[in-house]
Formats: sequence, structure tokens, C-alpha cells
Amino acid sequence: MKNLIFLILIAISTLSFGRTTYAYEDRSTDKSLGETTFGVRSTASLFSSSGNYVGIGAGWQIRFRLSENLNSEWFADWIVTDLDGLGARYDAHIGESMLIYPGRQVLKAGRFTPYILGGFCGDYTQIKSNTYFNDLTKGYEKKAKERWSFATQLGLGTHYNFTDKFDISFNAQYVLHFGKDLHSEIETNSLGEDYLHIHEETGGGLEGHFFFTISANFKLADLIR
Amino acid sequence: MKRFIIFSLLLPFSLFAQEEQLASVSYSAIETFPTTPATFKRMIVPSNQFIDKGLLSMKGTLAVGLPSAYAGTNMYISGNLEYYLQKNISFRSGLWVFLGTSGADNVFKQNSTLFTGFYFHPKTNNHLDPYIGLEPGFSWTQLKAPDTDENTIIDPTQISNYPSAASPVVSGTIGINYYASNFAHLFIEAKYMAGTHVSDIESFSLNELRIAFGFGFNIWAIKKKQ
Repeated sequence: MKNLIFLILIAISTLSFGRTTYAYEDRSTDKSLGETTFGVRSTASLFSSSGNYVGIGAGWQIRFRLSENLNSEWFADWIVTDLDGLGARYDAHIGESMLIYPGRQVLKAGRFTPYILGGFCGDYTQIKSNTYFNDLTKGYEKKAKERWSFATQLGLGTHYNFTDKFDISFNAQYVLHFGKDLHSEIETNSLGEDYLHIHEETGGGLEGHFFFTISANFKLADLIR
Repeated sequence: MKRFIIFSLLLPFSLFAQEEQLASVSYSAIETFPTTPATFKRMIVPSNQFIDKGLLSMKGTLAVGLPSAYAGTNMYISGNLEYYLQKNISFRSGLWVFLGTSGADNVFKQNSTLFTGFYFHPKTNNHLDPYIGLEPGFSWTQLKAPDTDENTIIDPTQISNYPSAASPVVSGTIGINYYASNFAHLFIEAKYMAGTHVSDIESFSLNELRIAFGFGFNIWAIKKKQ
């Protein structure tokens, strides 16, 4: 009987140590929780409903990591696009993307960390034309129209971890805007001059952008541990 | 048989005990534990690299820009403040104040730029500090009104009040510092920036190669580890 009790006690002790080991592994997998990263970013807008013109943007971002496989990225961008020298388009984006790291990912120096991103943002868009001759009013004028909209985005990217705290990230994403219709086309007036015609249809409209973003990011703090 | 069972149960007990010892060591200790000869060498051979975490560096100089859209040389007063977050990573914020253009008609009235970004500093074993950086920023740009007289025929589409604009730009920089002492350094760097100025007349490229060199100050915000 004594031996049986002794064996049960040893078995319980062994199981207890087994749990300790699992707890240790859990801590190791969750050690990325709370990582807070600050970054600067530059975005190229490759096309929009205004045409295939490349716009350049600058902005900042903060990442807050939720688990080993999940990160969140909060960003703000200001993008300016020259529309063939006949006008300009301005886009402001403020939003959030979730970054999902497939498989077991360790942010280790010298390694790439690929990810899938998806999220939403709020946007302000303004399109301005340069001065042009308007056939309807028989006069020279310039126009500007704007809108606020919401958008959802989906894309692919990767971090390259220079050190355990610093990374350069690249991503490409498709952004779909939901809001009032606003687009522009280059047309020719009766003087034979090209000009930017800004269209603003009644009702809602969908508009897609393609963005390529490069960012440099530094892990500032761990807000959880 | 009982002894065998007891031994079997005691064996994992000792194995888990080893695991527990590892678990009680901090993660940083595990990560820095010498696992390769190179790592071990780095630990026992002290580095003579001057830069380290906590170095605060300030540069101020006159600089030039070679624009790609027109002939001439832009002139700037350039200054920046840089902090080394790690031995090989620094954060920098810099301002380039536009003075004018030499050797061409003045295109811009304003073309000053604020940059912020991160720099990577490859490892060296001395006071030299090569670096490469990515710095997005914004240029405050405004075209200069052309000189005209009463006989000048003006195209109505080119009439403008020449508004200023905040133009986003992106830049890549490569350069090298030589830290002569704990207080001063020399540097030379080249920065290529890309952007576009848009207003109510034809747009203008801001693409430019900017070159700066000179003298800077540095202090240790955190005492360097010996």
C-alpha cells in the first residue's frame, strides 16, 4: 500500500513538472505579444480610377503585436499623384491592417518574415484640374472636387529583420474604396488642348487602387510584459 | 519490477528538472549563449567599433542638390539630429532649407524638405561608420513666378498664383562618418530623393541627388559600455 501511494505521488509530481514545461513553452510562443513598433513608410500608388499614374506618398505607422502569428499595423499616409501634368490627385489614408504570419514565425535577425495583410481605412480624396478652356462656359477655369470614403484592403508583404528590433518591410496591396463616385479623365476641348475632366456622379461608386509600400520599423517597447 | 517502475517514473522527473533549469534562465541569456565559434569569438574579443547605443549625433552644413529635371545646382543649409537606438540602427530627423538655385533660372521659390527615417550601420572595427538609410519626408515647395513685362503674351492655361504645397518625397541615403573623438566627427553622404510638385499649372519633378559633407558634433546620451 505504501509503495502504491509512493508511486501515485511520484506520478503526480511528474505530471506537475510536465505542466510546468508546457507553461514554459506557452510563454515562449507568446513572447511577441505586446511588441510595439514605430515606423516610417513611403507608398507608391500605381493606379487609380484617375488613370495609370504613379503617386508618391509619405507617412508613419505603429504596429502592436497581438500574438506570434498576428500583428496589427496602424498607419497614416499622404499621397500626391500628378495626372499627366494636367491636374493632381491627393489621397489621405488613415487606417489599420492585420498582419497574419503563416506558420511558426520567429522575428530573428537576418530572416524574412512573410505575411498576408487585410484591413480597412478612412480616406480623403481631392482631384484638382489645372486651368483649361471650358467649351460650355466659353471661359478658362480650374476645378477641384473632393470626397470622404471608406476602404478595405488586402495584400501580401514581408519583413526583412536586420536585427531583432529593426526591420524593413515591403508590401503590395489592393485597396477598394466605398463612397461617392469621383474620377477623372483626360479629354480634348474645342481648341485641341488636353484637359482634366473631373467626374462626380450621383450615387455611390467603387474604386480600386494598387499600393506598394516600403517601411522601416523599430521595436520601441513591449507594452504587455 | 517495483524498482523498475520507480526508476521509470524517476527518470522523467530528472529530465524535467533539467528543462526547468533552462526555463529559469532568462530568454536574453539563452539568446546570447555562445552557440557558434563566431558568436563565441564576438563575446570574448572586444569590438573596437566606436558607435554604440546611446550616441547622439548632430550635423549641420551647407549642401548641394543636382536636380534631374533641369540644369543647375540647388543650394541648401542642411542639419539633422540622429540617435543610435542600437549599435547598428539609428533614427534621424533632418531639415534641408532651400537657399536658391545656381547656374540656371530659378525654378523654385521654396524647396525645403523635412526627412525622418532609420539608418543601418554595418559593423566595423574602428571609428569609421558607413551607413545606409531610408527617409520619407515632405517638401515645402513653391514655384517661382517667371519674370514678365507688358509685351509678354501669357498662355491663359499658365496663369497661376503659384501656391505652395506639401509634397511627399522618398529618399535613400548612403554615407560614412568618421568619429574622431567623443565629441566630433566628419561625414560625407549622398541622398537621392524622388517626388513631384503639383499646383494649378504643370507639375515639376523634385527628383534630385543631394550631396552633403562636413563636420558634426556627437555626445553620449547613455554612457558607452566598455
